[in-house]
Amino acid sequence: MKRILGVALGILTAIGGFLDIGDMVTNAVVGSRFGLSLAWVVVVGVIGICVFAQMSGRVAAVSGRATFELIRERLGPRAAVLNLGASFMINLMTLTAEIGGVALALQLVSSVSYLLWVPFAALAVWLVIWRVKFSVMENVAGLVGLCLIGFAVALFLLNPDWGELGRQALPGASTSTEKVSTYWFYAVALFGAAMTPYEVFFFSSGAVEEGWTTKDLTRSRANVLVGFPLGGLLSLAIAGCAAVVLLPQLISVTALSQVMLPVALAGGKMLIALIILGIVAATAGAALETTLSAGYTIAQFLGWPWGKFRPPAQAARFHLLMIICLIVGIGTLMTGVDPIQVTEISVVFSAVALPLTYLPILIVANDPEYLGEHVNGHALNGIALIYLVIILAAALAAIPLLIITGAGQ
Amino acid sequence: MTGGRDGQAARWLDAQLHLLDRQVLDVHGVPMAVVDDLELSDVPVGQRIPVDAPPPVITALLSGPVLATRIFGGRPPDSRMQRTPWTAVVEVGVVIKLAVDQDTRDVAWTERWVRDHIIGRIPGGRHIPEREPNDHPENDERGGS
Amino acid sequence: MIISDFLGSRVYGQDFLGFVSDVRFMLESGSVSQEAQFYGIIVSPHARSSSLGFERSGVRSPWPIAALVRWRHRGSFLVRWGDIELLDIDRIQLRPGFERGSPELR
Repeated sequence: MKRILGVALGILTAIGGFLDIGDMVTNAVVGSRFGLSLAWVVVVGVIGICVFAQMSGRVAAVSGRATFELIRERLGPRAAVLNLGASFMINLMTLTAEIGGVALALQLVSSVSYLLWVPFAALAVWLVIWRVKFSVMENVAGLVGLCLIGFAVALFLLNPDWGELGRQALPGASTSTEKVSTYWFYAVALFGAAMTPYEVFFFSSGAVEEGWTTKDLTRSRANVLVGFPLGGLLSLAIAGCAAVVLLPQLISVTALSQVMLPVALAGGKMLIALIILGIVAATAGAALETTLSAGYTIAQFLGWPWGKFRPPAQAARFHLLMIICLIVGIGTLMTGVDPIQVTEISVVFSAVALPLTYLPILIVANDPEYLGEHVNGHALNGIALIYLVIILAAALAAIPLLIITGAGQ
Repeated sequence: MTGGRDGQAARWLDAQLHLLDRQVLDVHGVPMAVVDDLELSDVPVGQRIPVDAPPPVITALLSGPVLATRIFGGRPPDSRMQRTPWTAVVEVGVVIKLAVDQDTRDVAWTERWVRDHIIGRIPGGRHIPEREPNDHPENDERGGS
Repeated sequence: MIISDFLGSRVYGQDFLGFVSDVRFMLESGSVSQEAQFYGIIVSPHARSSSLGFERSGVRSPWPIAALVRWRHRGSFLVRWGDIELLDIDRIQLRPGFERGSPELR
């Protein structure tokens, strides 16, 4: 049991990164419009995040420092400020959307209006950040979030034509009525969702929270190799369900209830209840991850004491900043903005911020001053450099595609 | 290259590479500030330097509100920067460790103010969290060490 | 005086030589309980910014980035305190016959 819980950080990071409310809806949208023809993007994204999360986890374990602190030191404040600005805006938008997502999921199970749930959701997130131990938080949110396995169960219960699904996943499959530019827009969006910067900041800061040292390098690797592929598989399951049920009927996905439609068809009430539990846990996990990341990045850049392992009074500005972020989130949601649209836009901006995040990580992971003998090997550097090229391409293509396709219409 | 005892070989520190933008920890290992600038002594500005003039030395580490000036240029006036004398420095490595407690220094005043007036007043603000099950004893200074 | 007044300053011998990309200090006995003395400046003919340490610490990976940074800072050299004749804001004049040292960190 302890071994399973030992990978909770990786699972929670992946859930918050791949399976937050925006990604769940995006995966369902992609499945309903493109079938599984974008599955390869998820695979490419999972490998990419594994490569970089492994590096940042190793850096945190060996040097005891989290990623953002090292970005400032190695690249200087000007480059770090750009990264900080972009990351903070994405974090703020995402945490706002996740609080909204928790409220939306709670609205589904009760007849209480979504707007009334928003302050409660934010308060609950704050209480966990304020008082709950980091390991308890990651174990509970991570493991309950795994209830999203219900989507994989539903996919099997729907008895799909596996051959057809396989055919869609192969490159070269026709994308029927959709334009090429829309296909690539969603490819960039899925890639940005898989490699969102806050995943790395949260993972490395979480490694410091848990007190990992050089003895924990194997554990760090296990977290990465279990958590992110699992997140990728669940993303594919959501897309697969949509491909099987929604695509043939050309049902478009605009709300959370449509994401769950295939599950309702497959398994009825029990499976739906499991899924909703998973959705609440996953979006709450994502809200915790993004709020903490907002605190981590600002505190690490400015040199403040930070961490849930300190009493709040010893990390006062860190906690105050997160409280302010949550209040801003509540305020934004109360104006009636649709949280799902907010994340779909922020995912695209994630793609733009990727090079600024991953280049410094690669540089630091090669620095013997921080890592001693644990610097990157040549093979890892080679893969990472290939990914930097892919990341740069995605970053350059993101905004033009956003404009050309009108956010995927 | 780590600092050695007296009598060991000379050691070089480059300002941008080793000192600027580094995290500063106080005597308890708690992050205190970031090195934003260095104060040097006896620098003859604008005049010919005699051939045997002694070199300036670092007198203090400076921290201050440099966010805007780093982006746009210029620097804040000296009165807005907080000094940490070089004599307080105990170790220069991946982080810079001091021999002073940050509660006695001006540079940490915003942290103290937020602690005393906001966070400290919320119930549970001073609660000390339990140690993580995985914690190794050498991690008492993590999060900056 | 403050070090950020020096960084990026133009350096002149007979002609324009480059920019100050870093300032080197020395601890004589290796211990920080001593004073850190101004040892010299690193002059980079083409770049004002910091080289991220690549050309001085011998770290060579990841190779495209290290190669790029080294290329930007090609021709960098060290000038010792004794060879500096005049220090002004954004202008440093070196003595005639100054020595160019290696910027490598030993």
